[in-house]
Amino acid sequence: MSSSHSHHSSSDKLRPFVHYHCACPDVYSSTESSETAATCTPLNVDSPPSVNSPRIHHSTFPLSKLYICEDCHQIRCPRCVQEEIICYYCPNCLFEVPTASVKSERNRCARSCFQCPICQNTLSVVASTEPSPATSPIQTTTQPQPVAGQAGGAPYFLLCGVCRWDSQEIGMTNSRLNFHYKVQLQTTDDERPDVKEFDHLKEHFEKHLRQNAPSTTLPTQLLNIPGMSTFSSRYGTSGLAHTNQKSDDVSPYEAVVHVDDDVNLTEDLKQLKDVNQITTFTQRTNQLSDQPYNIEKLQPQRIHLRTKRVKRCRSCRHILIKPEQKAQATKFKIKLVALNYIPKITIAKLPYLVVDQTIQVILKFSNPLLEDANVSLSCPYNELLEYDDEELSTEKLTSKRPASRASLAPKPDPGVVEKKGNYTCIAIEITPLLAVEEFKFPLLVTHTSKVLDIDTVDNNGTQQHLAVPAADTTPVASAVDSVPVEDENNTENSKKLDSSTINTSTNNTTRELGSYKSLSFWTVIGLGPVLKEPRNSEKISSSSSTTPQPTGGTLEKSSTAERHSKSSSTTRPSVSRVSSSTKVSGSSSSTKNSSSSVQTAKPLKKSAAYKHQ
Amino acid sequence: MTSTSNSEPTLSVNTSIPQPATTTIPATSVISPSSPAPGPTLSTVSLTQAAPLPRRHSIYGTGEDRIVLDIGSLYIKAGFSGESRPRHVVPIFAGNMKAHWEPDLTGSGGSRRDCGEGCRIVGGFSELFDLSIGRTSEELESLYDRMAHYLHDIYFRYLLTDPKQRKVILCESPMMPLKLKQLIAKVLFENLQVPSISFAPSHMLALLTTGCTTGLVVDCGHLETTVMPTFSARPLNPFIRTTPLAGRALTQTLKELITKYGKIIVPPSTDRQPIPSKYLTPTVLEDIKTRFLFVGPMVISSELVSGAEKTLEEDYEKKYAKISTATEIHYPITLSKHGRERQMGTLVLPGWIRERAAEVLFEGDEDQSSIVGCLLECLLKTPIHLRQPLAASILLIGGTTLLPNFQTRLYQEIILALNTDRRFKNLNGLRDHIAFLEEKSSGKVFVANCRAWVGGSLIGSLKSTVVEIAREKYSGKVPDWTTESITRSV
Repeated sequence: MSSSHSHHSSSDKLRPFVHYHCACPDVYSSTESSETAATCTPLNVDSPPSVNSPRIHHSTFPLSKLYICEDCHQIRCPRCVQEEIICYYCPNCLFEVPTASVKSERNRCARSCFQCPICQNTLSVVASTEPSPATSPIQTTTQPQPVAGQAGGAPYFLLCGVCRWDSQEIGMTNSRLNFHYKVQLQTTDDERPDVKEFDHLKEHFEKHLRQNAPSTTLPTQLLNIPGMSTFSSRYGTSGLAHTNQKSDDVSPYEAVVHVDDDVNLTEDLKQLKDVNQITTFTQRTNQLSDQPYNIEKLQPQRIHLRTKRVKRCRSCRHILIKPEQKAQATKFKIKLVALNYIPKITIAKLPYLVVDQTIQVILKFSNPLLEDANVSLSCPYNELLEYDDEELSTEKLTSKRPASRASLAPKPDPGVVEKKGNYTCIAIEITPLLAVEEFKFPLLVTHTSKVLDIDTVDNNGTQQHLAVPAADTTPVASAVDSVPVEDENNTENSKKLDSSTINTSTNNTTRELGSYKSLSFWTVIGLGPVLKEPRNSEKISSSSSTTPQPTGGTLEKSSTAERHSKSSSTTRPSVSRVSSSTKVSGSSSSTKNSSSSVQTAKPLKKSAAYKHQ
Repeated sequence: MTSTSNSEPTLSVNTSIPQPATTTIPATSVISPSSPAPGPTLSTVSLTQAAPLPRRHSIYGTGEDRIVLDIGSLYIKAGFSGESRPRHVVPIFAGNMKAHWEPDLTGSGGSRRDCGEGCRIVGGFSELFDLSIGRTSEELESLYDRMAHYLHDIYFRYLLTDPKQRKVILCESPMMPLKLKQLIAKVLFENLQVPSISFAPSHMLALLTTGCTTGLVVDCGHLETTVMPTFSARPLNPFIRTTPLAGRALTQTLKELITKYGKIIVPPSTDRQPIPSKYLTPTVLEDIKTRFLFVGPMVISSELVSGAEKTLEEDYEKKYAKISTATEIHYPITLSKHGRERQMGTLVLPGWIRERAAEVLFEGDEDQSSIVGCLLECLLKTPIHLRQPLAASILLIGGTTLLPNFQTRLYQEIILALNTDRRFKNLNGLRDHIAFLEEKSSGKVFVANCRAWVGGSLIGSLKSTVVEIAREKYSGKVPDWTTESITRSV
């Protein structure tokens, strides 16, 4: 990342970022189309996200949060995956709670894991330092709490390591290490006044309902009218009379408990001296039964459980993320994250952004695959820069392994700054026109890589589908020894090695062993604030982006971008020039292929190109 | 008994049509009771207070328990039916969830950090929705995103349950905008795929928690205060009165008062300076409001005009500073934060502001009635023969009523208004009959901001169905008492 970021504001919002946009096509396909709900099929991403709408915060994600579905060959975001719970565990003692007791324990840990009522951190069981015989019984249960302090410990109490609250302040100690909540938290569940009252109310209304149970003679439609059922019991099937009945009302109710208001509360508040005596709302909502104002009335609550979840793609129902069942294990059995597939875009150099000054921003694209990948970019804000008449500049990312068979075309790449290993840096020129707090622009990235799709039939006759994105493009013989084992998630890969090589030799329909799969996605790149230099302040164009065709010649927009300029605010800056590059296919394809595929992939680039000075 | 679980979505329980409507528990069929039914024995046991009642909980979660949600503009109360309090009260302002808040060690309301699931903090404090919702389609879509995020988090991180298994009961205010209802239904059906939704009016539900079916329910939330009469379990929707004087107005007044009369101490200096309002972030104000404010007793002075004209901001100090005996407090606030370092200052909050900021709720004019005015106007609208039982059963719900001394002050104001305000002279006879339900029955056994939820839980646990919208029959429309057709027959 750029070292010049230190001068940028420390606020999170204004740090530069590169976020990836997911239009969640599965989720939104059933609704009416909105501005941002693009049908996200490959090579057909038409409308860019409107970067200034508040929706952008919910639909763009850093690369670390995205998943990829191999079958659909689409990016999936946390919003459009379906989750299923597979395991409940306590975050403190890492005990896996069986599903039955999850329900009965109200999603809380039953094994004396408590959280501090003040700061909600975990409490630990501590032996008090009072002198006691050394032979105090230490429980050898599976007690997860570490016993701090001296071994001669009873009575034990709870201590918070962060805010130093201890349970002696509310008089909660125990002679054993095991703090069972039913004993410690003074009242059991069934004795609490609100529980008793609730059950009594339920009984009261159930009794009323039983008395007014309808007969079965009425058709269902009639029963839908509120009130019909009570009449049916009196009038049979002819019940459509609309008389006011007092007898269908519930009989008078008497409460079983009465909780008085705290009469001293107002006085105490009036004479309040110390602000720390009063509970905050967060502390109160942790103890919903009485929500006390006084901090001494707070009691430690049991720790809330957490879950491990399996995430699936909505359309094809394949599992994207599958963690291990054990609570202690942090690995994943299946881990189809986008980090391993689509290129990682970072900002390598970011100078100050000043109004009306053209600067160069360098973006670095890293390819995580073992295969070559081609990336092409386009931006809706302007046109394609043309170099040397109609020759289009190219860009290429090499694979991870230097011994790749793909050879680079030894063409000078004007947009490319650096190419090394598996990354490529390209330069983008930007001229902001307005001084805004945050400068963002969308960038359409189309990523193409070779995917080996094999439908294999193994010995059992079942059909399996393999997608091996790391397969090599060389002839069969060398594929045997050079098919790499991709990542640990694709564990089937190594096992199917033999079958895959067999099948590749028989797969003679295509000359190359596999097909090119292309994936288009929008990214939103934020570059931080645009500064106003004092000496340029008078030159700030008043004809801001409100006008669809601004003057000055430094600003071009494609037709789609115009549509978005109307919806955005007036402070939206414009990118004047983006020296992007077009897509080119692999080294073995001809340039004719590349140009044709450019045309289909990038309809935006067909807008008129202007010449710059 | 015939099963009516998939009833027609156009008939909802809370009809405003003057048909004889029973309680919101139409005694229609029973849905697969899986619990053991010790019916007759329970009714006898419950009358004796000693024995605890067996919990009729379905341990295996086969769906007998429903999810009860009370979606407000600042907090969502969520939990399972059959329980006496919500599991979680989740703050939903500032675009993030409770889990994102750092612990509130300094009392400045905590600060925010990112959610682990990929959302980012969006802007500052903002309620989930406003009353004027749905002006632009983009606003609705943005609300859809936020709502989907919160509800998803509520299911998977708070309630820890699969949404596809359990039906949902939603506590709605009768004045909830229709677009919001549709949006909630859309999120629940399309995003989370719940099997069915039932909407229930929150005033009615709150009343059920007292065991009475007649009462005047005053709901002081954040956006508005709503007064709705209910008689014999029939919600009288045409007589609803609302006023925007509620939590938000209180926060706004508090901010103005503190900006004008509060002081700040910035170390290392020790003198008091006026506060720049940028330090009074909404979270700070919310924290002060929920912790240190209370409602002072009524002030009767010669200047008090009947009808309670609004006090101007300049006059507040003149009027109240001398007579108030509340202490001034020193409240630590964050001035700035760079990384892990935090510079703290001290906000000096005069005691009279603490005592009298809530006066705004009791002073109204023609545009915005005070809470008392709202209540009495609602009584004026109701038929004469209902007024006395209604006035004798007033129930206060909503978060703003949790201010200490609120109920007592409201009572004093009501009596004063009945005596002096000429608009309400027809109600003068009710003077001796004003009473609060909570004093008569179970008191504060359920906290006021959760009462509507508890009512929903009560409904969900009874062995009867309420009108449901099933997912198969969902077509984008939800039933509402405003859209029901009077002429529509069965």
